[in-house]
Amino acid sequence: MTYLQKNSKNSRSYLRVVFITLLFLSGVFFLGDTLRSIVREGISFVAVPIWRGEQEVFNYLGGWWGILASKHTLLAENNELSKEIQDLRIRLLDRTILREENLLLKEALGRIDYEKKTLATVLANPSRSPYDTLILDAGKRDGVLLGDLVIAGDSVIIGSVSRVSQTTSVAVLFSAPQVVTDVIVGGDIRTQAYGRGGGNFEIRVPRDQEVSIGAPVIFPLLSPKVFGFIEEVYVSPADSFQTLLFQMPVNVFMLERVYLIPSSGVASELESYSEHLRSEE
Amino acid sequence: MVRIILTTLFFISIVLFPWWVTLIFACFLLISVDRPFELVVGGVGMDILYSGGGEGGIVWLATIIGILFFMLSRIIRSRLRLSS
Repeated sequence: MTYLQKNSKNSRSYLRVVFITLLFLSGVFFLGDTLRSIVREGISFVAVPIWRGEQEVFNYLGGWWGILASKHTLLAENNELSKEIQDLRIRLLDRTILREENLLLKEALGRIDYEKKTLATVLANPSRSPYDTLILDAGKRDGVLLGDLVIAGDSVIIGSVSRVSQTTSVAVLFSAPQVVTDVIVGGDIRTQAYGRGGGNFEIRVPRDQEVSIGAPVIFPLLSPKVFGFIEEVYVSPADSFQTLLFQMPVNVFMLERVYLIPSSGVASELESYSEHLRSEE
Repeated sequence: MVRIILTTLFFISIVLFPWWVTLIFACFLLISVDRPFELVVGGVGMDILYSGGGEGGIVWLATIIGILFFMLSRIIRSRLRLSS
């Protein structure tokens, strides 16, 4: 009978690699935040200039693409965009009036709606990692704090800051798996939205509560933020709950800039909002 | 030489490309490199860079995949050697 000879030199070398890897991993796990933040700062030191350069290159190439595109396509696109702008202008006019009225009412009731916004550029969008996170170019030196809320545009809330370094921060999207957020559906149903990844959400509410497609999902704040609009409603005869599905109203994979607002007071506002709803009932 | 090229592409892909491109390079490293400890290092780097942290702490998904790939490479390469 022939046996394969064991290569002891090879095994020893393999064990050495395993030992060094384990040592490295234990360092990362057990030495805690200090080592992790050093490693992170090190990686960011290399990655951030690359990401910034990448954005510059894309902006430059985007300009060249316009030259290469056919005139006919550009003309059609231009017409479509002009119509869209006109439509949005009208809606914005209505919205501005309502917002001013809202602010006046709040002031009259002694609640001043003050939001300190910090503009941040998205360095890496969720397609880079399977975690549904955004890497932003604003950090501690710009006044960003842990838990700050991430807003796209003026009123669409998309996530919260979960890690902050000196120059960058990581924001977890509310749509990340296992993230549960308190929301209000259709103005009066207080429930929780479960993240399903890639900007998708799922909500479960009792079947007897009426929810229509297009109903707004709101994140309760003093100035309520848009969370999404119900897109699908699934009702099963065997289930006492109905499932509501919806997406973020913005494409998180195409975001270039976001605003960060402080989260201080969110918990108390949620509490006061739910009390207000209870008193109305 | 192959190791240097694949390792460089693997680390570049962590910073520049979507995660599934990184996974493809990881698979190439897995089958063409002996003892690909770069996968574990890359996994840790990816988790530290992208994972959210917060209440649940850092999710070590990429690290776990890196370790699994590292262990798998031993099995795959030993099988390939036997078959040849």
